[in-house]
Amino acid sequence: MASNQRIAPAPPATTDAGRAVEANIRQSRGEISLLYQVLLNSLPVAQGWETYLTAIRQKTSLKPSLRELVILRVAVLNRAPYEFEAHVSHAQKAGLSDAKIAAVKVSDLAAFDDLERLVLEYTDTMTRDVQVPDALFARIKEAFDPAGRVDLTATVAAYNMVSRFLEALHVH
Amino acid sequence: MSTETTKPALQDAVLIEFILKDQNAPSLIGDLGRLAPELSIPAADIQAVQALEEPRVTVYLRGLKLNANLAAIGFSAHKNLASLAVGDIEISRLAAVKVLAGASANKAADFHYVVRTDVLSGGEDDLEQWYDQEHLAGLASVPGVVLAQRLVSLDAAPRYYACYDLTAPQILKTPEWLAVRDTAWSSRVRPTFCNTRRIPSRLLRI
Repeated sequence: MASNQRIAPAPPATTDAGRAVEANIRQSRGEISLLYQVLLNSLPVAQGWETYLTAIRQKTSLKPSLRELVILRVAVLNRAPYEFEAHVSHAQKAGLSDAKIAAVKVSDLAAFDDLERLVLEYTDTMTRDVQVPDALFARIKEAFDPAGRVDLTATVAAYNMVSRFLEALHVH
Repeated sequence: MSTETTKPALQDAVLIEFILKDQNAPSLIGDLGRLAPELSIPAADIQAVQALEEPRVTVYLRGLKLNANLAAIGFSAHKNLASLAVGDIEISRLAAVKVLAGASANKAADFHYVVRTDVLSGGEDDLEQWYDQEHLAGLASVPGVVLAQRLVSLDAAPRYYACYDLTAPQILKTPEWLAVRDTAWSSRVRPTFCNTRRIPSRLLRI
């Protein structure tokens, strides 16, 4: 356990309920990452987190490259380097170019197309300002159908949850 | 990145400037973003730019009064930016002189070009009149210019600032831009410039 870590990883489950949650996580994630080892200190939170984040990462209508762009940007804004690094390979798999991955870190807007810029502006506004002006949301409505608006908004919100959890508890 | 076209406001500014230790510092955007909430400034009133040809970051805190609490700004700047910077973090006040919406005022600006200069003694009036009557409006009318503004530093040299928000760095090479620079009055004023720095930069979305 790193010296600055605030929550010890949970030991392997000793109850049927706990083993079931661990099995779910292994099934959807392949392994139990440090984040989930920390989450497993609270079974209901670990189970709910796994279900919600699996939906966000694998089941929404949002184009994978836009999803990963949102995730990387939230990590940059919230100074969450673990989240950023953990998602570089996902971003590459989702088709986000290395140039764009580098550009999101240093805010080089010229690297992005109009839809990506809109998504970045929405991500920035939700993360930094919380309140989203009508004029910006009107542009989101033009670009996304109702399901897409919910998926995009939930993705920004979910990864703000992730980065805040990681940073508050020093999961690095 | 607003696409609304409104008459731009004449706003004084406080400028924070430093040299980046690492141009790819992962916390740059996050650290700069801490300034707005800490100083209770709307995020939209903070403009951060990174020079293209040197590791310089400049932050304009707009809409602040010139009697703003520089000590509080300096404290926040040092707290959030010291780990990014090599050498001093400089804080200075800029008084707004003029602001003009550009020919491309409804477009997003990704670039920022600033000309900072002093002028030889005795040349101040001609410089002011040239900027006021010909040069700033001339450059504002060039396609690709989103905003043009002039400010003067109250605390540091060079004193005179001309700032242009641009859609692309190539605007500086267009025939329209070059034509505005190539006038008789420009040729008379430019030799009186001294201590001049021309800094092409990109806007950082923070």
